[in-house]
Parts: sequence; C-alpha cells; structure tokens
Amino acid sequence: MGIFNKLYICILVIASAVILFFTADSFSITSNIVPERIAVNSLYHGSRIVISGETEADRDIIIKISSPEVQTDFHKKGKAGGVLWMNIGELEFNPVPYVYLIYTTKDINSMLSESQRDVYVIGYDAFRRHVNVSPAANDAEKENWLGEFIKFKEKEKVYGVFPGTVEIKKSGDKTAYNLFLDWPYEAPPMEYKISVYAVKDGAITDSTEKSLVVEKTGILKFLSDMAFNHEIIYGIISIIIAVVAGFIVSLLFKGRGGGH
Amino acid sequence: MYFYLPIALTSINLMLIVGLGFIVGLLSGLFGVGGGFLMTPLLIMFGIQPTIAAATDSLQIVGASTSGTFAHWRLGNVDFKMGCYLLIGGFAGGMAGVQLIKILRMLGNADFVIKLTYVLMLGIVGAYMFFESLNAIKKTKKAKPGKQAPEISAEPRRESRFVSFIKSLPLQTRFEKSGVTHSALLVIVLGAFVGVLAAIMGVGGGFLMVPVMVYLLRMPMHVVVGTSLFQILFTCIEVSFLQAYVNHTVDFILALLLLIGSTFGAQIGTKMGRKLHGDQLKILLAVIVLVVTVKILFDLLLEPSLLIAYKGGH
Repeated sequence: MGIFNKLYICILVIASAVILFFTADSFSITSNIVPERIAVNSLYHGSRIVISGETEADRDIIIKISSPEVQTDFHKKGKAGGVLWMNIGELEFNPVPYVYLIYTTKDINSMLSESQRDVYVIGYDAFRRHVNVSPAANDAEKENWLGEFIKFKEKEKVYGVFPGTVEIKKSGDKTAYNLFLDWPYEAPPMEYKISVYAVKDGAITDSTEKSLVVEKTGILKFLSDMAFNHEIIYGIISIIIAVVAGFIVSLLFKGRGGGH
Repeated sequence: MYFYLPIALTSINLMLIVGLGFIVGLLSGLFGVGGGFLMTPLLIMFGIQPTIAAATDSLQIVGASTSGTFAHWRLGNVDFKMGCYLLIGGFAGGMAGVQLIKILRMLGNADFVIKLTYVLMLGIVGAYMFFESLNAIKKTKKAKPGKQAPEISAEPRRESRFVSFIKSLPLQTRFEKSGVTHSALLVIVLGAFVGVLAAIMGVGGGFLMVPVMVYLLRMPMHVVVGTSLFQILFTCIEVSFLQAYVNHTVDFILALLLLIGSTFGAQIGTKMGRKLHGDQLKILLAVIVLVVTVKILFDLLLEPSLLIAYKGGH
C-alpha cells in the first residue's frame, strides 16, 4: 500500500512539474473576461463585457469571438420571370460560425501577414477564403454571395471587424490591454470562444483562449425546454391560455358595456 | 421596456408589440379577418424569423378571434351553422391545398405563380369590394337620405344565372341567422375553395372568406364578420397546435404580448363596427386590402436590400 502511495505522489509531482513547465513557457499572455457567464432572462437586452489582460511589451492585440462553425443554409433572392424579386434557390455556406466578432488595436492587414490571417481566420479577407459557397459557378459569384452573407450577418449585429477598439497601455516590460464590449442580444444563448492573440512583426507570438457562456435561465429556460421537449403540452397550454385570455377580456368588456 | 423571447431568441420592445397587437385586433373585430397578412410581415420587420412570426401570429389570432367571436356572439352576429359548414369545407380544402402545393413545387417555378396569384387575388378582391361598396353607398344615399338605412338594403338583389344555378342545387338549407337559404353543398365547396387558396398562399384566408360570404353567400356584413371570426378561431387553433408540435416555432411570450393588445383591440373593433354601416365596413376593408396589395407589389418589383434570407422563411 505504502509503495502505491509513494508512486502516486511521485506521478503527481512529475505531472505538476510538466504542466508548470509548459504553462510557464506559454504564459506570456493572460486574459480575463468579466462576466464569463451571461444569464439570459425575460428582461435580457444584451450585456456589457470587459476583456482584459497582459502580454509582453510592444505587442498588438487581436480579440476574436466566435461560435462553433457549422453549415448554414439560406434562400437566395433574384428576379423570377425577369420581373419579380423573390426566392430563386438555395445557398449553402460552410463552415461558418453564427457569431464572428473581431476587435483589434489597429488595422488587421497592416499588423498581420496574409498567411497568418488565413491560419487563424482573422479578418473578412481570410474569412472569405475559408468559407465555401455552394452553388457558385465561379469565384466572382462566390465573392458576391459572401458579400451578401457578411452584409446580412452585420445587419444582425453578430458579425463585425472593429479595428482600433482594443486599448493598450504600456507598463514597464508589459502591455496591458482592455476591451469594453456591448454584447449583442442578437447572439443566441450558447458557448462562445474568445481567443486573444498577441502580434509582433506580422506574426502571432502568443495566444490564449477562454469561453463565454450565454445561457437561458428561469422562466425563459423553462418555456424553451417545454417547447422543444414537451411540444404537445406546450401547444395545448398555449392554445388554452390564448382562448382563456380572449374570453376574460371579452367578459371584462361585457361588464363595462352592461349599460348598453 | 424590453422582453427577451424564448423561441425567437431576440429582444423586443414591449409597447411596440402590444401596440401592434392592438391595431391588428382592432381590424379583426371590425372586419372579421385574422390580420396575418399585416402582422406577419411587421414581425419579420422587427427581426423575428419568418417561420416563428407566422406560427406565433396564428396563436395570437386564437386569442383575438376568441375575444372577437364572443363580442359578436353577444350581438347576435355569429351564424354557427354556416360557420360549421364552411369549416368542414375549409378543412378539406386546406389538406388538398397542401398536396397541390407539393405538386406545383415539383413542376418548378411554382413560387412565381403563387406570388403572382396572391397579388392578383388581393388586387381583384380589393378593387371589386371597393367599387361595389362605393356604388352601394351612393345608391343608399340617393334612395334614403335619412340616417336609419336598413342593414342589408345595400345588398344587390339581381337574379343572375349564378343565383338560379345555386338555387337548383340539392340539399337546400335555411341559415336563420344570416337570413339566407343555400345548398349545403355550395357552402362546403366555397369553404374548400378558400381553404385551397389559403393553403397555397400560406395565409389564413380571412380576406378571401369575407368577400365569399358577402358576394356569393349573400350574408349581411355584420353576420359575415362574426361568422368569419368563429371560423378563423378553429382554423388557427389547428395551425397553432401543428406549428408548436411539428416545427417548434410558437413563441409563447411573443404571442402573450401580442394577445394583451389584440384581445382588447378585437373588443373595441367590434364596438366600432357596430356604429358603421355594412358598406362603410366593406369599403374600409377594401382600402386596407388594396394598400397591402400595393406594398407587396413594390416589394416584388424593387430590389431588396438583402439578397439572402434564412432558410425556412416564406
């Protein structure tokens, strides 16, 4: 038993040393997200988030907030019969996140090389190269539909590239950064990835990743769980409440209109 | 004050939605239409996904038409017998329409034909109602300048070929409340006709049912409004349940906010309608239908600002 205990402690010590060694080596950028969880209740109308941290001196900062990449299907509009604008087919964008927000200290193209932008999918140019559009007969058509996609998502406030929004302050041999961000209520409840990159001489030198959890709570969670898991009860209760509401209001008016 | 919606997943201004519900409820009580042709596009404009907007609107109509049907029932304006016959036809027509749309889609370019039919239908119905009731109002004024014009004096009473044909149909039934006698067959077939069109166009069909009752079934306008609401109530109960069960697209909170406005609107609309003459009601409805037609026509002719839309919308 004693031998096992000693072996166990030994393994723990070695493991801790290994973890410390690696984290110490890549611990040249930190990030702190306040809050890390956003509770979505009935009165939710977006939230304020602060992302801050430290890195080595003379670094620029890129903060990328995104959701998991999936295939997203759209209707495309065009002229049918040469006269009427309407849905004329389907379009598939793959892979795309629902939310894609980039905040930086300055213009992305001037601080990061094209190859690095492509590797980390940072900025709309890299995004366009990363995504496939189907059907698209040629590159020009693909470019055109990607433009429409970005326009659509920007209007929804869930896509955006905002250079010059991350503030940096030099303190000795460190660079401290800060981003005050109005989290859009249009971004649906799910888990988001917040990646922070330190950039020097056109390349990413360090990065860190945290998650932001946006989750339904209270009655909102109860209702949406019921709508998806107990749809028959949800449907019947909804109809009963609608009928009863109509009936009650009708009775209220009967009382008022009694003098007629 | 803003409310976050559990299914639509967006935040919406409380006063805006209650106000919108009130206006659409007012129209329901006044004209006996569900108001989906107005409500659904407005909800989409406020950032609600099209499928959720349409499904939630149908639940809202359940509340508004309950409120409106009760108000009209108290005034003696609901012909339950006529409503039930129309419902039987409407239900069968709706099922046939859903199958028909599948066949049309397979033939290709169906959406173009459907959209065009929709606009033409709205335009023709609106224009016909407008000019017919305008003429009737002029005639009434000439014939009786006094205030107390009888309710159905403006109804045309020409014995056309159509009238003699429908009089020769079997199963002639007396509809006491409406004061008309028709073949039950005719009523069911007309209900089915509206059901087919409503299913194809993806609308509730109130704006089609009202002219059918007025011009083909020759019912007095006030009974038309009450009976139409009674019929809409049952159609929308069925649609709301199916949308909640199959598509999970009914947003309860959104429907509730709309209901607050629309149930009150339906009551006030019914009271307002009592003070108006049948032809005045018809001409007002005709104007609204024509305005909506022009709006849809513009949407179809002008290039939209966004050339893509989430799949699942109309």
